[in-house]
Amino acid sequence: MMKKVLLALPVALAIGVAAHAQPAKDPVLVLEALIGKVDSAYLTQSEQNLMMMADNPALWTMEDGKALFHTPRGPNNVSLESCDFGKGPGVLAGAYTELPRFFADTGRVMDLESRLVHCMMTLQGFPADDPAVRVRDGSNSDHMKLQTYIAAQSSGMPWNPPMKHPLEKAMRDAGEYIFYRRSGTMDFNCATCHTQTGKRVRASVLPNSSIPEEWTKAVSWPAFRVGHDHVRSSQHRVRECYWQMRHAVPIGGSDATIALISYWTDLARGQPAILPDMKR
Amino acid sequence: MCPASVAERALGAAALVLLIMLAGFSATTQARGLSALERQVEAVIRDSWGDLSGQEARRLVQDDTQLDCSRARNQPGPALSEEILSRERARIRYPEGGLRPGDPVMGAELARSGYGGRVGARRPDDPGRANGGNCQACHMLEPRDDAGGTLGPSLAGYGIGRGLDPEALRHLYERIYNPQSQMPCSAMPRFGHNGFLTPEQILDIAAYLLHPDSPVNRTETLREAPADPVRPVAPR
Repeated sequence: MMKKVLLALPVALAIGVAAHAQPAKDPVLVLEALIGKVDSAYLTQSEQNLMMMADNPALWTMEDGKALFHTPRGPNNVSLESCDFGKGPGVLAGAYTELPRFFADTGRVMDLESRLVHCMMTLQGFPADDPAVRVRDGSNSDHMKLQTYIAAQSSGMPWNPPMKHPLEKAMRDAGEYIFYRRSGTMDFNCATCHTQTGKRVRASVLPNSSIPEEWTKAVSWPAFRVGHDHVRSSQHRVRECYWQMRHAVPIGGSDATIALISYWTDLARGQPAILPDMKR
Repeated sequence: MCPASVAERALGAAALVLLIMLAGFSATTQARGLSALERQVEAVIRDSWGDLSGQEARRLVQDDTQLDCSRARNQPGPALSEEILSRERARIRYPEGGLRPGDPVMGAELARSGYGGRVGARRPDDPGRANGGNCQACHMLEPRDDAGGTLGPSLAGYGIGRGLDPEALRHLYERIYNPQSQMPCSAMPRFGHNGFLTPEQILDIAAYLLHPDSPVNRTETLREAPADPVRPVAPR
């Protein structure tokens, strides 16, 4: 833990210098405002994390992501500045809080990770098996760096996934079905752990999907997972929940994963995103 | 770890959710008559998990009770409750040697162990090693258990007033073997029915919970249940 503090120190000192990446709104302030609004054991469960959050190691990851994002890369030697995340090419402010959304150029509802894959492959020309595209986990992966940077440009903005296109609605509804679908050797579904307030699995307080002020923290990924010592993504959260439920993990970026993310983002609608977040 | 996704492979095949209608349904779900929406999402689920075989593929397929409880969102009405209770009661199997209390020390270990059943390429559990019941994930087990979860009720003092009485043992064995034989759509796994714990392991856990000398039932350490260590969110 001490090592993390020392590593994070220069970031804390650097924050505020214009040349460095910054979240759109300080995630600590966003979280503190939510804590002031509702009495939630989930939001306040880790005092250490609240104290450490100003020096969140994910801020490093975001900084690396900024450099990667604006650097010409891949066989086509272009940056991601012309990638359209839904608000127009290169527009990042508020883009992430309006994902997943339908993209006419692919005919699909895409989340941040699948959209990033799309741009890396079509704009930059990376092949699917290039580590830049293939490696999705770990703070040192291009994916986690880029996702953290892109997402942080929506910090403090309200979750607002569009529901205008029929496929956006269909994916949200599919996600709701999957959320309540019990199966497997444990008979679990997502609702087993996420429909009550203040309950714990062992020492961890679980977020309630029907309390938006609490749920917004639960869906605020990327977040630095202290127990993992890595920044993790929404897709990683889906995989890990299924793994803990003793299921095989779904394919990264598959429609079931995007459907779940559509549904869980819709449940946090209107509440501010905490990006990057810090979790147990 | 993550190959090109189903959707990436199907890039250009628009409207995936709406178009996928065909594929072989399991006999169970077909017999239950899935709605159009259910069939579509089930197809999405099969595609999203890709090529699974054996145990991993079977786990993704719902049985009748899982489907019923999913549809009812775990709030079955009176008629469905009766149906599930009788169906699940009939699914209970008893140990060959009859219902005798097992080893409470082994039971204590099983109640804490969260080992077993994880599958996948990364960190799968060894199927050759015994599964744990992981009771502590959801229940506080002993009067001074600060590590137990609260999704289920505290079990501290569970055996007080029950002891190793044969009826108490039968009731608890059935509760662990198949909770839905007593509480339809219970959140608790059907440990015996799903083959996660053996009947002998269930008897060990039952002995740990019921035995008068078990730390679960040590009256000298029993205290008022601690105030809920977490504060509920104020109603909005």
